[in-house]
Amino acid sequence: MLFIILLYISLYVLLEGRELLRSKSWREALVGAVIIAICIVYGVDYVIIESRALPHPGLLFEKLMPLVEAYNSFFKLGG
Amino acid sequence: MDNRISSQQMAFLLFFLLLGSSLIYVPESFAGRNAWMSTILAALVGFMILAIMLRLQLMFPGISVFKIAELSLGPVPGKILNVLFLYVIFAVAILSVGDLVTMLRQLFPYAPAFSLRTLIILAGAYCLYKGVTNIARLAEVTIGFTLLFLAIGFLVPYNLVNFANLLPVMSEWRTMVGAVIYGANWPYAQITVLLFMMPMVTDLQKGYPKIVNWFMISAGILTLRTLLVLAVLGPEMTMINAFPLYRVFRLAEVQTFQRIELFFFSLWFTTCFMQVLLYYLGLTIGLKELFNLKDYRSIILPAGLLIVTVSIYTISSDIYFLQVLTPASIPHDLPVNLLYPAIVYTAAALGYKKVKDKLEPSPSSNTAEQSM
Repeated sequence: MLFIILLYISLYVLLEGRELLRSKSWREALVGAVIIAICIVYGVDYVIIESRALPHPGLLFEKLMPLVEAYNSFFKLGG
Repeated sequence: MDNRISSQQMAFLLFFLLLGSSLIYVPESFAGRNAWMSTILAALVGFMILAIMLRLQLMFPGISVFKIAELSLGPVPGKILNVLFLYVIFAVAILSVGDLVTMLRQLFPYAPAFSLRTLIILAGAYCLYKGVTNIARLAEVTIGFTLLFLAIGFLVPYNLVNFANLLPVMSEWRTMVGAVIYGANWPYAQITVLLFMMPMVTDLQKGYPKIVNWFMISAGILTLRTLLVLAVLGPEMTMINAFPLYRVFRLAEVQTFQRIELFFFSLWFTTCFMQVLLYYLGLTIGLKELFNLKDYRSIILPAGLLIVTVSIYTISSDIYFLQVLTPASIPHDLPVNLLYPAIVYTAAALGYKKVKDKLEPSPSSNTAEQSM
């Protein structure tokens, strides 16, 4: 996972870094940096800490499963 | 980066989005022998969503949906709704990548999911860097062989068809009605991502019937797919197979050829990849609109990295993906995909004059750059 993040960061710096600095697009650079920072946090948690305690869409999906099961039960849907 | 497309190109993008990954999965399979009727009823839900999307864009040509939402609902409620919609787009992007990776791992079981996700998103990033116009041209170029493969694909297993598997009709109306929501969520409600690309259509006023026509063609193909799968496999086998259409092609025999299903791999991969691409594009454009950036180019790679990272973090296994994420996507995604365009449209219709006054003087149809 960390290799993937490093690969994307390298590509981002190579492809966008110069253009962002030249055009002084600080907002675009900030948004990109924040997104990459979020990914680094997730990457570190996944690989090093291995806690999987950060919020992710799967948590909400799991909470909605009883609703799905009740729906399937009512409409007699298999699976 | 050229970001103008024609109605015909938008129609082809809609076609690929609808076929997407649902072509091979058959979401309505829970309905058993009446799944094909669920597919038709789900298409009606999709048609309603498409009608709202087209009507909204025709009211404000060239204006992004995020801007319309903020002007008609107010900056704060509009922003909140926009963030919610973008989150759902992000979630569906992750699910789309998961669909494609799960399908690929059926054919290449030793291919690591990490690498597949990275490669898929990097390929998508390359396409995004080329611009929306080139993505639309990609759809134009691939539509021909896609339709050819579909036609061949429906004919090859014809000798395996047993229409008795479809009878009796309407015997299990309760499951048929229940399964409609599965089809409505995936793929029909997922067309809302095209809201981000609608402002780029230069001839929507005259060309929107093409979009409607291709929606109906897609719905027809998906219904035929369901009929074929049910007629060949029967309702029970359709329900228990994760990839029913793939199973159908595995059963097909043509002379002494083996692994016929791999012949159609290019079809499935094309439609699935286009779906991933469109969701990746939607997420990128959505982020650009949300943060009022000049162009979406600079966040293509960060957005792609976000999809890869969170999908690896979220999807712990194929079983978790198929048994939890896929069914739970219905209450997670469908309400937002149904309500967001409806709420924005209603607010925009009620406050039409107010919104029009706030916008700049009406541009010509060739100034789609206004919203970019």
